[in-house]
Amino acid sequence: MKFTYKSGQQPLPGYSLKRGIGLGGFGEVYFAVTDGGKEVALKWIRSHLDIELRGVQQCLNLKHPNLVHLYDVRTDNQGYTWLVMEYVAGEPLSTILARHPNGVAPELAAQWFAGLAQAIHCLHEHGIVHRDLKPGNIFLENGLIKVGDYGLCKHIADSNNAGMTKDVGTVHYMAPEISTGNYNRQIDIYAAGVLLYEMLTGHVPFEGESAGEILMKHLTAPPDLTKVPKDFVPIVAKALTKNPAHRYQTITEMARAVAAVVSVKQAVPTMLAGNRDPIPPGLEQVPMVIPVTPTMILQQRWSELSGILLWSVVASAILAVGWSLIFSAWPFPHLASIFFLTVAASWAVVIPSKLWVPGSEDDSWTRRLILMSLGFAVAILGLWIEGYELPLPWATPARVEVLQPWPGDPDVRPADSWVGKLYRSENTSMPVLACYLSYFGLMFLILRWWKATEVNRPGRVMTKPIVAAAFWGYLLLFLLPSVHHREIAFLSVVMTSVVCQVTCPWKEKTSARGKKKLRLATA
Amino acid sequence: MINEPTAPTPENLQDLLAPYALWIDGVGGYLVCLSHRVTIGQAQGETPVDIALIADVSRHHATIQRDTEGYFLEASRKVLINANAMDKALLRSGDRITLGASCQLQFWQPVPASTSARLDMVSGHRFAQPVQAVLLMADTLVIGPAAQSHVIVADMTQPLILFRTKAGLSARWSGTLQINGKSFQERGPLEAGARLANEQITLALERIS
Repeated sequence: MKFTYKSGQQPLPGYSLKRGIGLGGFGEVYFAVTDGGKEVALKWIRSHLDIELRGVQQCLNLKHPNLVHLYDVRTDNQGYTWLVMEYVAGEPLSTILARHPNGVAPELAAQWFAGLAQAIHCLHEHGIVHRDLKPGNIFLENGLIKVGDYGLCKHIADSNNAGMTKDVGTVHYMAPEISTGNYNRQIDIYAAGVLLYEMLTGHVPFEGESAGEILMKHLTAPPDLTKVPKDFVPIVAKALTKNPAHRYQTITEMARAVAAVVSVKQAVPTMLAGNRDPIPPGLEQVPMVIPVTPTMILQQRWSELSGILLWSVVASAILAVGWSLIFSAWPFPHLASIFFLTVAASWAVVIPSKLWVPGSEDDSWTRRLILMSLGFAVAILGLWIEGYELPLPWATPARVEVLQPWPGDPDVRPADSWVGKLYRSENTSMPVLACYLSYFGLMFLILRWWKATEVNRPGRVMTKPIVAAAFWGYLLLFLLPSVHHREIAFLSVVMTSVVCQVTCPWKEKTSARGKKKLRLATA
Repeated sequence: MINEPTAPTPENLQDLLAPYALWIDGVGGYLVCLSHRVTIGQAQGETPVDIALIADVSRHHATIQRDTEGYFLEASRKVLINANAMDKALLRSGDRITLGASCQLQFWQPVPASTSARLDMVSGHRFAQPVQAVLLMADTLVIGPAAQSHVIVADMTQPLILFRTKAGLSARWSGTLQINGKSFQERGPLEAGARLANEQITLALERIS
């Protein structure tokens, strides 16, 4: 670590720097002693001045035993700003957790969590969102939790969600909604969930090679809760829900749930040993156990699903644009058709696949039949995109009539009702509606599409399903009338196979990988 | 490289044994005691002690003396060693020394090849000096990545050794050392107020009056 100032220097009159403590994204932190002998931590602010100071103003006079106190904001002779803070002699939680690679005892984690919750509660009570909760910002001094570095704090505006999209927090603790720039104090509850997970298991729920990969997992992947002690699973699951509306609404509510788990466990020995109150003081003493209900599981799946659905739109658009770059001669309407069909088909695959319980393979044909019916829906959408009116009951009464094959020129399309548009194609004797229904229906029936969406599939993007989709898609092309843009249907089926695999979260089998250090922890 | 050692005179012998504060960036602050005999007591005492504590202990509570066999603790007031009341005891690495009712220090000799020792405060009390531990320096101090170091710095790849010379303290490092802006190869002298830096560590030595 290279610090700008050396031991013994006095950049700020009255404060002798003794040693550097840490380097952070916002500046250097030093240990200093005042002329009067007070030990302080001095933060030399070099960048992001506006954000830092705006937050500091809100927090300067907060008092809480679980918060690292801010004493003052000073300016040195060179015009630099210094933040004078309480010096915490203890260790950061990051150092402590590094010594416990498998997590700490649930009782200890619950005790620490109570302190953490008190601090967050105090901040939230004063309308401040911490936004950067992480083990490097949380200290343990003589058994007391101290939460620091709330210089990043943001004032909650009167409106429910105030937007500000500056870089917030450290990526391992970052709630999914931060990427939208539209977030509130719920992000602290998410981060508290990540911290509880990490205290109990020794590692964070989402790890990855790059910040982008981790962010993507926060957005889409469900956390693996198998290592979390059983009693804490519903609490961690609820705090880590993707949709902020489904998390605990207040940190006190979450702290009460955590305290309840420990108090239930300790109930018997406590009664024998005398009535020591296991619930941390200051919290309302209403123990509440949150059972996992099927609705909660469904909510969780839905929130995961909504991420996938969103991303599949993006992936389809990228693929369609990529296609247009290769075949620049293609007209725009074709690309638009491919895009819409791919989105529809991938949604038709992903929605049921993600709602099914993974692993139960016995009902393969039920699944195929459900997918086939969704394939029919995709076929009707395809027809509609092609320019046909939909067979709706309130449509104009039809003249039953069999027309000659459509000559391919859009201007001469008969514009009457849907039945009037039942053509006979050149190479089949079926009406177009039946052609489309059978093409997409069979495509969805033949292949086991859900295999490509499973979390534990062999690879992120596998070639086998794509080749299979291409093979069957090509083989069944005979069903489609040659007068139509058959390649649109074919391509959208192949692209669906790609999109599903790209967007559905995938977990590598060997997951023991070191946590990435993205930002240096500072005091 | 090192200044030719001068024979210690009584005045500069006193000077040589005066304690230092060792400040290591990103790691911590340490009180380095060079005398073979250190006194422990309350910070408010009229006769200053070597290791002053902000705790409910006597003005002169105990003495630790280093000799050929190791470190002996002599209690002037109530001292428990691993919960046993003792008047005089040979300290072993890991011993917990309780002074008075609540102040507890832990004694460590982490480096087998060195007789130097470290005293950690484990009861949450503070030393009068703003440091986190006391280093009782015999011959050498090892600052390095291994668990067998007096000061553990996990990020380092090789240890930095502080050792005594007749003139004072010196540092040894395989590579180039910057001391007060001057380059030294392998070893260089550390005077009071010296600032040492290499690519892995920066530290400062401050004389405590």
